[in-house]
Parts: sequence; structure tokens; C-alpha cells
Amino acid sequence: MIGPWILLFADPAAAGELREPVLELLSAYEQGASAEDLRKLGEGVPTELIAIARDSAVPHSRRGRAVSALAHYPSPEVRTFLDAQLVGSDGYLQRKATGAIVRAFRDDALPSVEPLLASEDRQLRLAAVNAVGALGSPRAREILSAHAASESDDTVKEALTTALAEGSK
Amino acid sequence: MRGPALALGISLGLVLAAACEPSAEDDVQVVDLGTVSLSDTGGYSGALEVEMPALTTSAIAYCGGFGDDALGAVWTLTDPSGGVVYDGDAGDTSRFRSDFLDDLSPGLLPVSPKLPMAEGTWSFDWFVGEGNGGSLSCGAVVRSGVGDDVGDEATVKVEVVFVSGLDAASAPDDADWQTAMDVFETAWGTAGLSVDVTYKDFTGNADRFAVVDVTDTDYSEFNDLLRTADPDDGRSVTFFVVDEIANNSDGGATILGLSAGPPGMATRGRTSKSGVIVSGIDLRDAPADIGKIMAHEGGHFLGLFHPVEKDGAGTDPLDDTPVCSNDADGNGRLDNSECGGNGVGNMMWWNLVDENQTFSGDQGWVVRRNPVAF
Repeated sequence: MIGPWILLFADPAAAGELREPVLELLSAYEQGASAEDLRKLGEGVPTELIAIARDSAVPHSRRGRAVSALAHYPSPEVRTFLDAQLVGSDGYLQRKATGAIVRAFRDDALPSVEPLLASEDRQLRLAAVNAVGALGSPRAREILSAHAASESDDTVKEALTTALAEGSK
Repeated sequence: MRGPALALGISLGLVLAAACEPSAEDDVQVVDLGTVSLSDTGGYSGALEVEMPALTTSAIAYCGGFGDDALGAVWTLTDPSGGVVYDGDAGDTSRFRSDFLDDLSPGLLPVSPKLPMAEGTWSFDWFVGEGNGGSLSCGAVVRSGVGDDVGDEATVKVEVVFVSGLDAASAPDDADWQTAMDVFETAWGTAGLSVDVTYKDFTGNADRFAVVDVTDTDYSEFNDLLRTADPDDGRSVTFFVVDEIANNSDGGATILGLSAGPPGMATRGRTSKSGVIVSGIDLRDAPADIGKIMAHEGGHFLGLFHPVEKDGAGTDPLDDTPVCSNDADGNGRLDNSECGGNGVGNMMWWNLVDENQTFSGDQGWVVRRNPVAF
């Protein structure tokens, strides 16, 4: 378990040689960083993404995109990092981690994400509904159905309805 | 001395105010091209004629109302001499370009000095794909009165609508927001555009639109927010500032900004193409980036494309924009390091960079002619 420990507490200022090309991909105006583009940068990308995500000197949107891009690297180290983001205090990064962890680990991520459906942060609940809804698995539908009755926000309720309807197609 | 000074101040104020209004002869007219029936499985609108009077500067012909699930584009464009100047089957975008868009397809003229306006009858034929509902509502916006005598400077009225974060009252005194506006105005200034900005608070469902959720195939929430654009002066560009745009096809990854189009439906509010949406998440971290996003996306709205796409495929219809092709490492992507002196410095380059980006002469030529400019 040394790997995850190092990733969580690494000095974000210790930028590697991948910092510049990775940040470049995270800075496209209209597109996120694709798995293909990241893969072409070679090994070490997830470590750099985590360093960028943790670096408060990097603009928030780029940190968020780094978290989102970690979805392309479903490793134990990435899982540890994303789990830590889910319980962090930055609502925006929590939302990005929600999408990334479900995309990377699918049903295996549901135990981490299900509590977010009861968060006081409606945007986080919405992100969780969208992420879980995109899975479309029987377990995902089960979780969303169980939550539907207790949701009070109209926008989140609408997203729940849409997710459940699409999942039933 | 107070009397004359006050009088001077008032008269100067009047002059400045007058300078921010279109001249009487620089006018925009809306032409109704009627409703067109077509097969719900997809088809062509047939030739729709737009009469361009003498001294026409620009025009946007459009067909819309085909819904967020269908895609349409101008397929054939014929000039007053009867020559086909754009053919979607040929795919030659060197003088005109119309990408597939959902719900409403605006065709802007001119988008290149190589295809300037000419008096007479222009003919547009749209192709709209399946799921279009069986009918199109079409029209045109024609800017006329000054012809090509546009000059090197123009004004664009910008209405900023805050969906979340700031509000209209606080924005003028917010240092970060003003930094963003300074960067935005400086960038547009390189295209010869002056910005006349007003602020407005969002009166719609802010809970729904604070985060605008899209997918690669569903932009309905984006479209719905733009459908609320209703600027006090129709000859304005509406910029909505939201927390973020999230792409749920990409795990919710943030999109920095999105413009309707390109081109946007200039001078027409309450359509799915009536503005620009900017993610404001970086306002406190990197306010200058917000200004760059506004400048870039606003460029799209006014009819500009990326000089060259990230993968090297597709170029804009302009001759003086840098078209980098130096994929030195063969990774299928034009990187900043490969195009440092040949692309990165352009405001319509595909990614946001630290350096100040500028517009080219041709890009300025296009945006100053847009129907929304004066």
C-alpha cells in the first residue's frame, strides 16, 4: 500500500515532464482529454493527473478535468485517490470524482457513490444520479429506484426519472 | 467654469452614447422564408431564395424548429450569378462552411473574404436528417445600408447573464470579473471589435442551469438555456455564465465554454443558437482564462472556426490564419510545442494557453461584418 500513500501525499509542485503535455490536453476549450490522446503520452500519465488534480495553483477546471480523466486508468492507486476526493470538501472536485470513479470501476464503485445520493449538495446528488444512471446496470437501477422516493429537488428528480426511463429501454 | 465643464461632459456623453448605437443606415431586417415540409426521415428543404439588396453587408439565412434530436446543415449555396459556391457533397469549405447542428441551422455570409456579399438573389438548400418533425421554419437576417464599407473598427453589444456566482449588481465592482472582461475586450480588440457590455440577472430556473449537462448526442439543456436569451437590444450577443458545462459522455468532464453554432444565430433571441455559455468555475483561480474563453467562444458565435482542428483535419475558410501541419511526433495531434509560431498564438487555436492570443486580419474582417456588429 505504499503506492497509494505516495500518490496521496506527493508534493504537487514536483511536476514531471508530462505536466506540460497533460495540461495542454486538459486545456482544450470544448473537449476533455480523450483516453486515446492520454495513452499516446506514454506511462506516468495517471501520476501526473493526480498531481495536477491536487495542485491548487492549477485552475480549478483543469484540476477537475484531471480528475475526470482518471476514469481512463482504473488502477488501485486511482481508486484510492478518487475515494479520497469523494469525501473531500471541494464540491466541484467531488462531482468530478463521482463521474470518474463510476466510469472507471462501474458497479464496483457503487458502494462509494451511493452515499452521495443523500448529500446536502444538490449538484453533487445530481452528478451522482447522472453517473449511476449512465451505468444502466441492474444494481445501479436498484439504487436509483430506492433513492427516488426521498429526493425532493425537482431537477434531481427529473434526472432520476430520465435515468430510470433510459435504463429500462 | 462648472457650467461649461458640465455642458462639455453632457455633450461628450451624448457623443459616446451615439457612438455605441448603429448608424441609421446600418440596419438589420428579418425576412420570413416560410415553412417547409419535408420527410421526417430526412430530406432537403429545396432552394430558398434570399434577396440581398444593394449595400448588403452580411446575412444569416436559417432553417430551424427541427428539434434537438435532428441535425441539419446548409447543403447547397448558390450566388446571384447562379453559380454553386458551396456543395455539401463536395465538402469544399474553402469559402463557406456549414457544419451539422441540431434544431436550427444558420448559414452566415460572409465567413471568408473569398466569398463576399453580392447584391441579388442567393439560394440556400438545407439538408436535415431524420427525426426532424416534418417541417422547417425558415428565415433570414440581412444587415444592409453600408455594404462593405465596414471599416477597421466595429462595436458589438454584449449582454452577460449570470446564472450562478456573480450577479448584475456586483459584477461591475468585482475585481476578478473585471480582469476577465479586460482580457476579453483586449482579445476582441485585436479583431477591431469594441465591446459595449451590460449585465443581467438570470430569471429562469437557476437550479437547473447552474450546471449545464450535455452528452455527445444530447445538447438539449444547452439549447434550453440559450432559448432563454432575450437581450434588451436584439443586436447583442448573450453570454451566460454558469458554474460549469458538464459532458456526461465523458464522466462529467468540464467543458470550458460552448458557443451556439458556429455560427450563432446573431440578432435573434429565444432560439437554441442564441448565445454562448461559459463555465465560470475558474473565475477566482484564473479570471483571465474566463476572458479568453469568452473571446474564443464569442469568435465562434460570430462565424469563426478553429484555423485547424486538433487532429489536423478540417480548416477554416480563411487564407491568413495559421494552419499548422507539423505533427512532428506523429501522435495524430497538433501540439502547442509543434505549432508554437504557427497557430498557438491565434485566438481560435483549439486550446487555451498562457500567452495572449490574437485574431488574424481575415478573422477581424469576418466578425466586423456579422449582423450583430455595427
